[in-house]
Amino acid sequence: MAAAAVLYQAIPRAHIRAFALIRTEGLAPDIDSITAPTLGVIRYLGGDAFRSP
Amino acid sequence: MEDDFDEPGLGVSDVIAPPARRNTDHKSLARITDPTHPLPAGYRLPFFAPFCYSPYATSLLAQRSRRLRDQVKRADPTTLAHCTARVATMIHSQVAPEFLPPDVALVPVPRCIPCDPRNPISSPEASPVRSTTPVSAGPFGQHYAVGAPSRNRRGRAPARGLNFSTTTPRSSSSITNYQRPDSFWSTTS
Repeated sequence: MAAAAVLYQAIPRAHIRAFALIRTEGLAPDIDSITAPTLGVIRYLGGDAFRSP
Repeated sequence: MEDDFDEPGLGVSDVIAPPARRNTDHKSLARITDPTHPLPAGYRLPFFAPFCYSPYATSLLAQRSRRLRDQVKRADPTTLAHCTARVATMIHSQVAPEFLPPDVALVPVPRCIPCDPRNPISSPEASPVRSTTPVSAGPFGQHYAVGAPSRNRRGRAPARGLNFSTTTPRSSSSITNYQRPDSFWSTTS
């Protein structure tokens, strides 16, 4: 999120998206598959970044 | 013996200037403490992640996912090659067609490392994004995706794309439980 902010400041008209090769599923008790392509959003709330899903 | 400081303009002043007045208004403090400045309020950053891992689960699949995580973090070339092939397949099969258009430019994001909280972008790892300017990014169009850098074993960024820092991440040497990556791809869909 901070990197997106820096990039936004440098290039305000850019369409910025985040790509992560692998994400943490820390809230789920287990995973069904390692390969699980997911689209979502990251928000900054109350001083921390939250990813959904 | 001549005194070099006798030159005009090179003299050492014996008068100590008062400290510069700090600007501590609320807007300035917000810019220092809010890492999302200047993003608009309520900004939502879209993301795409093709693989996942479980940090705590004890199943065999979870253990394999953690091994994949370790190998991705240590930039294992075989694992990254497999992952790249999988992601390419996803792109060709239109898994996320609007997310990875042909004119997208990948901007590697520095890893999270300790730095001076009074100057969050002072870290050398932050220099790649900090130095990104519209001029240098012009040929890549207006689509940008920020993501973890794909570095090789020497910590070098990919040859394609923008000119980024080549500093080796500090945390890459702390991962010691290296295992062969071949076992991941036989059981995952």
